[in-house]
Amino acid sequence: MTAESGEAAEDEGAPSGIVFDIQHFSLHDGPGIRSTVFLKGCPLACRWCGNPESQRREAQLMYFTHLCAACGDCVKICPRHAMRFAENSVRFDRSRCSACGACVPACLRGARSVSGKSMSVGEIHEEVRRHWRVFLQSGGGVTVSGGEPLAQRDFLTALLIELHDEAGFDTCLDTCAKAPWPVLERVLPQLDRVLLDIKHVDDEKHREWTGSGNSDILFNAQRLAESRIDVLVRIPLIPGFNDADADLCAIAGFLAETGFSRVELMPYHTLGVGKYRALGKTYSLPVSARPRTPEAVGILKNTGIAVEVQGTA
Amino acid sequence: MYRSDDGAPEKRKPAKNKIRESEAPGNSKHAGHSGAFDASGGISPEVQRARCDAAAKRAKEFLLNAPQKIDTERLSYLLDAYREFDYEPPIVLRARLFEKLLGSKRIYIDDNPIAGTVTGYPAGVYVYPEWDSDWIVKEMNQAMMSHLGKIDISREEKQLMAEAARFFKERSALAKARKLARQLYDWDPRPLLDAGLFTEGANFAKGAGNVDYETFVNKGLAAIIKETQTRLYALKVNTENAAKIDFYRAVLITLGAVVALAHRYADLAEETAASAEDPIHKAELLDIAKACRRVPEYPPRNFREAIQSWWFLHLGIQIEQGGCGSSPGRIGQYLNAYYLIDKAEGKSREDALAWLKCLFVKILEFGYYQGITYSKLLSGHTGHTINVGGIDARGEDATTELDYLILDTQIELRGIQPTITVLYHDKLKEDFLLKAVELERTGLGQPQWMNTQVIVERLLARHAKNGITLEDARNCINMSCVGTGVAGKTAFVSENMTFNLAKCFELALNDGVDPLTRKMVGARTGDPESFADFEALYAAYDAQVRNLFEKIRRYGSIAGKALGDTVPGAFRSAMYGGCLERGKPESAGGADYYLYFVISTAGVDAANSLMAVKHLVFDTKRVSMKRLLDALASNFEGQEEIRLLCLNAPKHGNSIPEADALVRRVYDDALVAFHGVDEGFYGEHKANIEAYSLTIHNYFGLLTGALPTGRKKERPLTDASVSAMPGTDTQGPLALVASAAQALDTVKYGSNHFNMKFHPNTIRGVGGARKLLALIKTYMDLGGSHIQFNIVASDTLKAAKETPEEYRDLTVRVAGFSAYFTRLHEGVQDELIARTELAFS
Repeated sequence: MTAESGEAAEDEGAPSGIVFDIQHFSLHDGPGIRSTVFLKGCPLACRWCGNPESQRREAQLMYFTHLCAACGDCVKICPRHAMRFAENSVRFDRSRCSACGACVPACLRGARSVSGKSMSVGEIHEEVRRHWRVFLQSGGGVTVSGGEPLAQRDFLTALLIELHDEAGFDTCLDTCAKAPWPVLERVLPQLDRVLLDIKHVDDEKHREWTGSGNSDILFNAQRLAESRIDVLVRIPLIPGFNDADADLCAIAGFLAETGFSRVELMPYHTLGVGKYRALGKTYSLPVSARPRTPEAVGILKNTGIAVEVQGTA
Repeated sequence: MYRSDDGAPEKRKPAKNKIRESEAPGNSKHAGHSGAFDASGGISPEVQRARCDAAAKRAKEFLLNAPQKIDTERLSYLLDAYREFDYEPPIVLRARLFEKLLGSKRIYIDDNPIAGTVTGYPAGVYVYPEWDSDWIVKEMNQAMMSHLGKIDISREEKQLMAEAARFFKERSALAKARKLARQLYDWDPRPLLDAGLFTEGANFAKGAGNVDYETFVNKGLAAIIKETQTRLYALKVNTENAAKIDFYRAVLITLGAVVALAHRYADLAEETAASAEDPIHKAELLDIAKACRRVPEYPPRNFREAIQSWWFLHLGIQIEQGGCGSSPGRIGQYLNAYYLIDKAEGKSREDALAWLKCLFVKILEFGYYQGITYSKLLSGHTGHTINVGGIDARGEDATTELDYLILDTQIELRGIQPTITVLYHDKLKEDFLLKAVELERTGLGQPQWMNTQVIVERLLARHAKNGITLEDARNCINMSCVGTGVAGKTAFVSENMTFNLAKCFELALNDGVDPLTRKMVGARTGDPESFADFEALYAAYDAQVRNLFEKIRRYGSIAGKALGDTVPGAFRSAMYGGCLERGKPESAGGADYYLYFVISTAGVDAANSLMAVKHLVFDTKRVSMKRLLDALASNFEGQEEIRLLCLNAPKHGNSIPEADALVRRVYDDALVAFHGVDEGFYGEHKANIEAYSLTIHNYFGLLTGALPTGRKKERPLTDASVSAMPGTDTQGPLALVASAAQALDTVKYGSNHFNMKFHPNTIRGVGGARKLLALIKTYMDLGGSHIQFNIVASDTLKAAKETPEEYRDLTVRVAGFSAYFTRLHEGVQDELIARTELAFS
């Protein structure tokens, strides 16, 4: 163990990572009541992504225009003059913004926030350990999610060693498995379980909708199935992407072949749409679309796989 | 096992009945009666069960639509009794009134096989001008609201009400209290009332807490009458015994009156049976007659008779003085023996369930109206709290089979009254807890959860000088809203009704003058601009609190005297442990223990206000005191920036150590200030502060100006006593739970009160149930005393506000109780929608 902690510190000094949120009272990311640590940065860019602020590693300013009253306090305070007044509204030039966060406390309406801050392993441990009591009562613990946590592999390893080996918490990794197998393999000893996202088995389609192919993902899925770790496969059910019968049959076939007997469906939702606007991005999928959840449940069940559907609220 | 249904508990159809009416074997329209009778000619259990189910269903449906009706019949008997028996001491006069009413009031038997109603009408409401008659004059022509809807009243009835109001103008408890306050202290409470600083204790009839139903059902009134006669006849007539003699005389009159009432129902049932055509109906009426002939005079022989006996005793309590907070208590425990008798005789749990449903709709029918202030404070809550779980005298789990059935009854019936409380402790069984969560899933806001360990410690501490035993403390109950006491032995009386800590803060910023009424109602604490530091501000606030208690606590004692002089209750006193032994009514200190209380409101608003001023004016110096005062005086008009700064200041509910400490300081100091005043109408039974809000936070909110919390004037104050100000708990449920659990000393205070609102998704499935239980246990382990949940989606609430007619069945927890959402005050509706939605997916 100690050898690995030494290795984890390879970056330089005390390991720190870029975190975009720590959510307590997580109910749907592993057993019990959990604290979920969201690491920033992801190799994929799924079109439906509910956390678009998770994709880039660097800190980003989020600007919620619907909360803005154009009072101009941010214009006054911005050291890089990224904001200016125009026709009774505030114009934001993102190219000038360094996400320094000076405007965040200046905005009394909470229209601004910076996503992404550097935290040390110790700081994260301090924050999650406050909830040890409810972890104990509920059989919960800490889930590390993203982004893609494996993208901050050394920090992730150090964090999991602290939370799992030192603190004795139940740990869970929420991953899209887009990483070289050794990176994933290295953290398995510090994990009690893995939440594995499988989005599609078709490489082309996967590339079209997530920006990247899936051969390494499927390879990792097979290796995980062979390992003795507790894996729960989760499928985001996206209309037009993977909810047609043919898509689902292919996914079900892969899962059955690989030896996964249980999946959780996460039906498409659009709760994150506002965040796209706040990041100056456009959301490309239809907001009103609904996935074919009942059909998906039927097809997976027919293959002998136990299915649970997550609430969408 | 619960099967999750995805959505919110949106507009709910009335609870589905298991047996459709056309299939009900007991339906008289159904041809053929073979199998409808048992060997002795009575109704068979199957038929009886179906009839009970159908009757309960019809009653609930009726109550959803029916306006409550003021029944003025009581007023004629009231005036008659006061004229006829004016030579008697008050307690005997009151007993004669009780006897007259029970002996002569209109009675009827409907299709509920439990006989007996409060008034002569379905959903009828009596008026009690002996407490206060002013409101009758003032409000005669205004719309009257209660939890079941509009209250009906006719022209003739108004005349009678006006006559009674005139008669009691000087004779009411309230009139006497105010008169005595003038004479003794040259003090008039009205400026403080108008300013929303407090509400009085003498003007409302209150419920009886939790009387000793167990002993009275088990022994029967005949035996108690005999015991009381023995006590009376053994007394020497002397000064020491003079009052005792009158008390026992009064008790005997009232006990006899309840037996006579039961016999009237027996007679009516027999008469109706004689002309009944349908043999099943006839048999049912004869069964009713048999039960009413037997109980409550003699011990019940089965569950059905036990329920009927309980109901007559409870009717006595309610008719004597109708008011919020007469709780059945641990009814599933003290009636369990009768359920076991039935079970041994081959009856099923469904049979018992059917009787419980009939009882629950009887309880649902209660309503009170005592004026608009009463209505705003309580929003129609009637406080019929049933306790399940808890521990027994040996400290072991006390849960009975009947407790499970009580949960089942409410899961099926989904009524807003009675309300169910789980007396939580670590020895409760898994299946019981999961069933309790199943009830939580109905969206009814029930059960509420109370921490047994805290209650036991609280009772041992509170009654240390009243000779409490550990066994009594373990036999604790939750009564009324979140109040606690010893089952069957704790009298439920108030000193004053409520006070408003946010207003005390407001006075500290205004040198004692109420900014809304412009009256001097507080202490002179100086110009806030002269306060050198935060401690100077805090001292001014604390001085206002002390000043308030000095004024109102002595007035509370006066109210106690006025109530004892005016409306001593022989029947409810007899039913409390201790009064018969001591020969004294509740109002003279006869009961074993007293839940003698005043309710604190807006402690969190006061603390958040102090925190905001500390942060903005003294620590960061972001806003000067003058600018802040100007902004508050103008209700933040044109001062949105200051309002936002106020809103963004640190708030309770986020596990911020400084804010947590200040909330605790506010509550601790209020208690010190309260006990610093030497008042004690009930001697060693000391008054204490309860910390909960009913809908008092809404009432006081209307009378409280803009606050440095960012709240504008006349908006509701913070609900409950340790909840976060709506929308200001941004750090998630666990931070809120931790802040709430430590906000006040739950052992020294009479209660705490914590509302959380969850999306239904949070407690989906057994896994969700376990997570809720883990959260509850965490809160209890941290010392929390009370927690309750609104399991509804805010979208549902918004829709209900827009189209109330489609959501008339939607119930919610509002500060200590359940209510029909669509009948809440608009401000309370908005607050519920705003209350932070705490579920994350």
